[in-house]
Amino acid sequence: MQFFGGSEISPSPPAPTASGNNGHMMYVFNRNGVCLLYREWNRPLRTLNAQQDHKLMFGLLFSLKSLTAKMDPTSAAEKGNLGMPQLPGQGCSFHSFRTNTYKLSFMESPSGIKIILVTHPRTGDLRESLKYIYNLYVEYVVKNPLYTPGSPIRCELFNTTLDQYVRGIA
Amino acid sequence: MFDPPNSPKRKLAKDKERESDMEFKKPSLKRKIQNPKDKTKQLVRCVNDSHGVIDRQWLDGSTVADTTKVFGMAAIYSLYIINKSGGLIYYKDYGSAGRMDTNDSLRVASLWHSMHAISQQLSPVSGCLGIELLQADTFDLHCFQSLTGTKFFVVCEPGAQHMENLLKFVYELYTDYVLKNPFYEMEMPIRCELFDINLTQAVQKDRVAFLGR
Repeated sequence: MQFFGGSEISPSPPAPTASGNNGHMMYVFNRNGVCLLYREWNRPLRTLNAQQDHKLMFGLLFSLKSLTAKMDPTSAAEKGNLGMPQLPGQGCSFHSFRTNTYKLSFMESPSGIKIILVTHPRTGDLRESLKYIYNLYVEYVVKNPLYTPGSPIRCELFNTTLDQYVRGIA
Repeated sequence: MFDPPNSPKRKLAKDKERESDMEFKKPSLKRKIQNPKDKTKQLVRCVNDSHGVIDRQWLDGSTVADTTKVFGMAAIYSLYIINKSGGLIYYKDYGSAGRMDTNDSLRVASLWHSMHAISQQLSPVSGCLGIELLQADTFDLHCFQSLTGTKFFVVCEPGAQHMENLLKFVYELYTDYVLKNPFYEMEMPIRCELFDINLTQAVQKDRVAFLGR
């Protein structure tokens, strides 16, 4: 295999098409790790069943966050042991990671709501988009009188607006 | 390398690291690098020190690290190398605030190994090779995995460019100075002086370019 020839080593999927539809899936977790919402637009590969998949995703984010909090090279303050429980907004967090097949963008609200968007690896910075999605959540879910906090989201209006928005950005 | 005669036999790992840092500043070594007067003596001493791995280019003074010019300008905080089972075999800190101790760096390295593996499982598309870039609030982490499963990752400033090239160059140094060293045991911590010297040179060039901007 050619390593230093300047060619791509890792096979990546075709470049994003202009028409959108590059969003793969989205997760919303609350602060207890309950998956409030899972939307899927384009997912050819499933290795686990849904529940296992959600647990694994939450675990990955939780551990990556403790990793970044521990690694933070800019603060000399005592950071405690690796894996110390962190409140939302406490410690150094992360906003995205990229592999050769996908990019995962992550946002955590001060109340511990985590929004995860998985897109094509070549999509740009999605921090503003995640904030917008959080606003949609506030408008369509939190302000819905029939919604009980901590239960899975079943709001038709939220789902359709979300689908529309994600098709527009990614 | 041999220990000074009055040094205690067992030392804490932390002290050992500090000692290996100090080895660069030893006057004998400095003279060796900066004074290219008698090349035969240089060559012989180099053979003794590094257990047989010689790089003629380096001895002539025209360094291997010339290729670092293309790496761009960025501050690197630290560099890790982990073996295929997740054990930390090399860790070097380049001046981050709050340096991690040995135990923490080992934990962080093996945690990264697991996260890298889990990210492959969660891929929506087949053929995922794990995380290449993690963007945290205050740093970027670039990771490169070789075909044999050894992972190289560097913690740098957010937005640093050309880190893939740096990692590939480190991989090149690793194959030249570590794997070709007959005294190196596979999957064990790296203690090769020539590797250290060349790596420091490469990273320092990077840093000088950054500061002189």
